Amino acid sequence: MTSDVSRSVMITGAATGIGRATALAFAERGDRVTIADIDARAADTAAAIREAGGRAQFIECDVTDRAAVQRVVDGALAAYGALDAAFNNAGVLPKPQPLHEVDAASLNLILDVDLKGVFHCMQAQISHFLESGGGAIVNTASVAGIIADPEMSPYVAAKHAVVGMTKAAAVEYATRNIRVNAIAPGLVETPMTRAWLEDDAFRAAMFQHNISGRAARPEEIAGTVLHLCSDAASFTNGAVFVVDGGHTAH
Amino acid sequence: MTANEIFDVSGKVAFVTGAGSGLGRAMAEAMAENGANVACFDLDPEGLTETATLLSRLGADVLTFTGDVADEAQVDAAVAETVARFGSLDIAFANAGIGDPEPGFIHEYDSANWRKVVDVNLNGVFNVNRAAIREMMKTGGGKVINTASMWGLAGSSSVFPLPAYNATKGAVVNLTRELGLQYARSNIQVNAICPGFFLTALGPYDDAEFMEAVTGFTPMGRVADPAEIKGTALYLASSASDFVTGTALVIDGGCMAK
Ligand SMILES: NC(=O)c1ccc[n+]([C@@H]2O[C@H](COP(=O)([O-])OP(=O)(O)OC[C@H]3O[C@@H](n4cnc5c(N)ncnc54)[C@H](O)[C@@H]3O)[C@@H](O)[C@H]2O)c1
Ligand SMILES: NC(=O)c1ccc[n+]([C@@H]2O[C@H](COP(=O)([O-])OP(=O)(O)OC[C@H]3O[C@@H](n4cnc5c(N)ncnc54)[C@H](O)[C@@H]3O)[C@@H](O)[C@H]2O)c1
Repeated sequence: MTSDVSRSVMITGAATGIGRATALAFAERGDRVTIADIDARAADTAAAIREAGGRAQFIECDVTDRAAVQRVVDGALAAYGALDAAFNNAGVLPKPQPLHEVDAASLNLILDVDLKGVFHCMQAQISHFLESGGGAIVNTASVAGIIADPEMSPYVAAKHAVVGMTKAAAVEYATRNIRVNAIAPGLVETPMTRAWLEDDAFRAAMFQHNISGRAARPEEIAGTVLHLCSDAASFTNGAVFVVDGGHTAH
Repeated sequence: MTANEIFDVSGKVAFVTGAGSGLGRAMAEAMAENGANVACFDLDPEGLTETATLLSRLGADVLTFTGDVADEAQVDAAVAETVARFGSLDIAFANAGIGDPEPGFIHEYDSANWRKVVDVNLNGVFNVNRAAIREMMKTGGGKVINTASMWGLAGSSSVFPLPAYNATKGAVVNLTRELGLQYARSNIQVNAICPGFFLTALGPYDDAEFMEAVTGFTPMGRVADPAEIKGTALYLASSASDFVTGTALVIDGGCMAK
């Protein structure tokens, strides 16, 4: 697994949470990491990697801006001479709202970041992979890309779309050495979900039917991303790897 | 946990059925290459001997059992012997399986063939899961990996008719979901692998017409080498998948995405 040569990897949404834990794991196995985030705190993730002796850079980027995403791909090539793999993970979670009350601004924000952000990233990355001879992409969907929770309709729509885009790209570029897969995490303890997890009523409701009885730590998602980005997953394409402690098996 | 530790299985004990050929041999190799000791179970003693030679060269301690997964006594005895010799059972691959002896439509299907496939592909998986999980409940955890198929998620007749295979592989997928739930709080992860077309003894891959049909069906435009299952095997056997249970992972070059 760790015998793969050092690769250049792009990760979006790595200021905190799943992206940060995965960036650290990539760096630990010797990969050169380009972190793209709207939050300047993501510079700390890059700094932490460099302090540990790894190679990483931070490029500020709003994934809703196609041109900004292109600058990240160009920046990875400029700094590390290559781009071999990408983890499109940036996302936002709306506050719970009944579908009939969702306002246009909230709907647009979710669709812009969670859906179009991933689309923009794949466009820029695939354009490069077609020239370089190939690469691997992993998109962060969610169990909300497979099932639904109430009052989360824009998020459920966007994450189902991530699964759809993943399959679409996988099938479209399958013969050109580009693999595209998705992960579907269940509940993970990150800043995104902290308020929920600190709410006793939410916890009681959530874990009543959640068989594992706990949320994942972000580090528990990293291994799946590392695997899907590696050559060990050479025949895995268009797949959705669920990491949810059994939540969607029921 | 470092990136190396995430995929570590060194010192673990793995039990692999169908280890005498194809995907089972590759799974056994993946375990041995990463420092596990391996118990190999198969109907075919010659295949087992070849696998054992390969694994020993990799430095693994190896046990071999010639037996039929459909025979619960043989499975129970092999698991017991594995635990007696290696001290525990940490990882079980319920992988042995067969195709429809005479692929065809159901109105012409032979009952004995049907029962044969159910016996190996479904009852065999039950036998291995039960024996392995019994041991894992004693030691406080483990990993069970069932080989289903992409034909456990979809019908196959757009390529060829395999009614018993599809039925049993679908059953393995749903048994896996149920066992994932049953043992979610017992630190036993139960998952299925759903392969697409891998170049093994299972299909007539030397037949040009068959090869054209399956590569044409596969978006990546090729069949997989059995070694390409190793990464998934290691992922599901190691702590990389500690929060993953009750899932069916598709490794098919894009077939199920289209
Ligand atoms: N936490 C969970 O329970 C959970 C479950 C399933 C899926 N997910 C998904 O995992 C991904 C990561 O989330 P997390 O839980 O680690 O949360 P997080 O809030 O810790 O991380 C999200 C990251 O995305 C960045 N980001 C947000 N909008 C951006 C934009 N427009 N451009 C660039 N970067 C942007 C944030 O700054 C942050 O670094 C998201 O896609 C989320 O939907 C999370
Ligand atoms: N090769 C593929 O394309 C493919 C695709 C999807 C699923 N699978 C599944 O992968 C598994 C392994 O198959 P393979 O492709 O390696 O085929 P294979 O024929 O090369 O290997 C199967 C092994 O299982 C053994 N076996 C058969 N019946 C047995 C029994 N009753 N008891 C003990 N051992 C028995 C055989 O002797 C053989 O060594 C099977 O479950 C198969 O259904 C294979």
